Amino acid sequence: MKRSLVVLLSMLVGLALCAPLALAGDFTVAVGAELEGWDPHTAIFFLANEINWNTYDRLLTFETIPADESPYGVEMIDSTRLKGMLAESWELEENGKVVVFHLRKGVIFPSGNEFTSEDVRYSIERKWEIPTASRWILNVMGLSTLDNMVVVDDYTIKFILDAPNAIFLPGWAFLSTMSIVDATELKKHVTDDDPYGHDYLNLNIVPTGPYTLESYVPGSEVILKAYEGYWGGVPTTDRIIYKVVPEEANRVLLLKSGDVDMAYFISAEQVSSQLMDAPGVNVFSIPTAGSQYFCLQTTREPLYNTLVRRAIAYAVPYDDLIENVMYGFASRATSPVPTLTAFHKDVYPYDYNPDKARELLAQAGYGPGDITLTLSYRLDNPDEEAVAIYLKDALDDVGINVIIDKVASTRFSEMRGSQDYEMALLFWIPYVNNPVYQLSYGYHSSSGCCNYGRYTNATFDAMLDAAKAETDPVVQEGLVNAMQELIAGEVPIILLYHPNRQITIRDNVTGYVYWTNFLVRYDVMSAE
Amino acid sequence: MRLTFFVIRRLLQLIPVLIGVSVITFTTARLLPGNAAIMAAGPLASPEDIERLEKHMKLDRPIWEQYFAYVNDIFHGDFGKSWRTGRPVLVELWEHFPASFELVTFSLFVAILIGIPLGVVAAIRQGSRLDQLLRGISVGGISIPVFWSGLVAIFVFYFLLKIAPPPIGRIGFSVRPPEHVTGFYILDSILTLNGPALASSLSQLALPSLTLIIAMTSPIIRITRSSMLDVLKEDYIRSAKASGLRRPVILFRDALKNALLPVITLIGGYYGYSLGGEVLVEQIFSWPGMGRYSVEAIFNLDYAPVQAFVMLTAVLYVAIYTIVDVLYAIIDPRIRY
Repeated sequence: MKRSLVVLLSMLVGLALCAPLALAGDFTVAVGAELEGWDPHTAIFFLANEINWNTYDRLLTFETIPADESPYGVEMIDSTRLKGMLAESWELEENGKVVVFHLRKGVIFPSGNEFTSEDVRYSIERKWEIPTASRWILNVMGLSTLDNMVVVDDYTIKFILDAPNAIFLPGWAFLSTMSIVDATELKKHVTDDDPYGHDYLNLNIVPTGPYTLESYVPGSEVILKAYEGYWGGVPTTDRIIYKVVPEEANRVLLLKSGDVDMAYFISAEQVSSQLMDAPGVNVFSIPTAGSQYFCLQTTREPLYNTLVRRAIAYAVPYDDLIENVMYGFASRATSPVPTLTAFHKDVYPYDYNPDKARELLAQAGYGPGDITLTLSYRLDNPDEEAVAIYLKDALDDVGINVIIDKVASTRFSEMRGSQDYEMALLFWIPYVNNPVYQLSYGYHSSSGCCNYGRYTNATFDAMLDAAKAETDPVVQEGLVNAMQELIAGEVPIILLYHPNRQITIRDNVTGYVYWTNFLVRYDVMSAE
Repeated sequence: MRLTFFVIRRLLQLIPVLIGVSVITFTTARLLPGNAAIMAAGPLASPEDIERLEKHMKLDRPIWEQYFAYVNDIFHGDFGKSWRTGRPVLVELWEHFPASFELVTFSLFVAILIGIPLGVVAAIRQGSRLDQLLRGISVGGISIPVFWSGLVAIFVFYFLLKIAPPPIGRIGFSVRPPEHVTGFYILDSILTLNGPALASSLSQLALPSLTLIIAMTSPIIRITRSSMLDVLKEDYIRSAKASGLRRPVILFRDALKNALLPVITLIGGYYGYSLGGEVLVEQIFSWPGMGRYSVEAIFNLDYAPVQAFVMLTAVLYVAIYTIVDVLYAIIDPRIRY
C-alpha cells in the first residue's frame, strides 16, 4: 500500500518536472486577489482596473521621465505633461470651458472596426447610464449632463463643461474608468435585459488597446494576448499571465524562485525581511501620492475646536510610525498636497511634541482626562491596527482617552459613507494625481464623495472653486499654495504618512513605468 | 425496493430543509453589518450614486418583499447574480465546485486508505509501542493547523527541495487546462486524452492533498481505534475466538464490519464539511474552490453567492448522509428502512 503511494507520488513529481517552461515573451504576475467584474465603466477592484488598463486605451496619457533622470531609479510619468493617446490633439475654447478632442485617424481595433468619435460618445454614455457606474467622477470632471457632449464629426468630439475644470484633462489620462470601448463590437452583444452590455463586458473585453483577452479561469488566472495591429506599435510582451495567489508568503516564494516575473501587494514587513537582499529580485521603493490619515469628525466638540485638532497633530509620533509600522517604507506627510503631486510645498509645522500638545489642550480649556474619543478602524488591516495602538498610547500620553473600535470592513465602508464616527483611520489613493483633485477630495464641503470629516470652510471652498476653474498655471499655483497653508493651520484631518509603493520584480525585467495610480502597462515591458 | 423508497423519502425531506435554510441565510446575510450598495459603488461614489444603486439592487424594499422576490426567482431557476461579476451564481458555483470536489474527494479517499488500517492495527496492538506512536502521531495531526502544515509543505517541497510544483492552483504554469467537458480537470484530461494537463493537475494536487490528508487521517485513526476496541470486547468476538475461527476472519469479518459504523458517520460529516469548508487550504494553495469563493462573497456583502452556497452545502449534506444511511444498511443487515 505504502510503497505504491510512494511510487505514485514520485511519478507525479517526475511528471511535474517534465512540464514545459514558460514561453519566451510571456510575462507572469502573481496577484493577491480575484480578477473579476472588469467592465471598465463600473470596475472598482484594482486588478480589474489593471486588466482594463492593458486592454483599453484612453484619450490621453502622460509623457514619462526616463529612469536615469528619475529620483527613484525607475521610469515614471510626468503628471504635468499630457500626451495624446487615442486623441491626437486637443484644444481649449472659451477660456477652457469647452474642450475639443481631435481623434487619431486610422486606428483599427482587434475586431477590425475603425476608431471614431462614436466609440468615445458611447463609452461616456455607458459611464453615465449604467446604474452600477459612479457618475461622481464625471461630475468632478465638470460634466453635469450628457447633452454637453457633442459629436462634431467622425474624428472630433467636444465637451462643454460647467466651468473651466483643472481635473478634466488629467482625468482622461489617469482613470481606467475613462477607457474607450469598441462601441460597434459591444453593441452586437447588447440585449433588452442588458442595454449597455454590462454583463457581457464584465466577462469579455472589446479591446481598443494593446492586449486582448486570451483566456480566463475564474478564481485562478487571466491571460492577455498582444494585439499585433496596435497603433502604438507591437507590444514587447506577447502574453501577460495573471495568476491569483491569495497567500502573500507564496507570492514571495514564487518571485524569489523566479517562477513569476513580478509579484503584487507585498507588505512592507515581507519586503524588508524577505526580498531586500534576495538574489535575482529587484525592489524599488517609491513614494506614493496616497496618504494614510486619521480623520476627525469636525462637526462636533471637541474636534470642532481647531486647537484640539492641532494638539492631536502635535501628539502623533510620526517617525515611530514610519519606522515601526512601515519598516521605513514611508515618508512624512508635510502638506495636504503630497510630495509627488504638482505644486507641493512643505507647510506642516507639526512634529512630535507632546508638551506642545498638552499646552494647546490647556489653551482650549481641556485638562488631562477631560476628552474621550473613539478611534475606529477596519479589522482586516494589520498596519492600521498597529497605527491605532501607537495613536492610543500617544494620545493617552497627552491626556486624551482613546477608545479603540475595530470594525468589520463591510460595516466600515458604511460608517465612512455616513461619517458615523469620531476619529477613523483611512487610506486614500488619488487616482488623479493633481493638486486640485487632491484638495477637493477631503476638504471641500460639497465634494460629494470623500470629505469624511465633514470639514466646512467657506474661504477654502471659494479658493478651491477658483483654482479648479483657473487655466493660468501661475495663478493656480498661488491658490494651491494658499490652500495648503490654510489646511496646515486648520488640520481637519491628521496626515500620518505617505506609504511607499514597493515594486517587487525580477532583475531581468525592463520597461517598467511607475504610475501614481499603481497600474502597470505591459506593452513596453519585457522579461527577457 | 424499500431502500429506494427510503432514498426518495429522504430527498423529499430536502424541501423543508431548503425552505428553512433559505430563510435563515437570507436574513443572516442581510444582518451582516454594512450596506451592499456602498460596497458595490466603490470608494469613488457620491450619495446620489449610492441611492441609484440601492434602487437598482432593490435594497430599498422591505426585507420580506426582497425574500419573496428571491424565492420567486428561484422557482424560475434564477438564483441571482453576483454583483461583483454580474454572472449567475449557479454558473459560478459550478465552476468552483469541481476544484473542491477533486481535492477533498482525493484527500479523503487516501486518508481512509491510511487511517482505517492504522486504526485497526492500533486497536489490535493496544498499549504496544506502535499504538503509542500512532496515538502520538494522530494527536499531532489533529493539533497542527492546516495553514501551518500547508505553508511548511510549500516551503520545503517547492522552495527548498524544488520537487513540488508551485502553489498556483489546479494547473501548472504554461499548461493549459483541459478542454471543458465536465469542469473536473482530472476527468476532462482523461476524456480528452490530454497527457500534460493530466500530469499537471495531478501534481498540483499533491501538496494540498498532503496537507489535507495529514489533517483528515488522524481523526479517522482515532475513531477506528476506539470503535474497534469496543467491538473487540463484545461477547460474539469471544465466542468466535472460542469456536476457533482464524484471527484475520474474526478481525475483518466480525470486528471491523461492526466497528465501521461510527467511522462512516464521521467520514460522512467530514466530507460534507470539507467540500465547502476548506477555506484555509484553498487560500494557501491558490485553489479556486467553493470555500474561498463564498468567503470572498461574504467579505464583499455579495448576497446571492452566499445564499446559493449555503443551499448547495445543505443539499450536499443531505445527499452524503443519505449515502451514509444506505451504507449502514449494507454493512449491518440488522438495519432496515
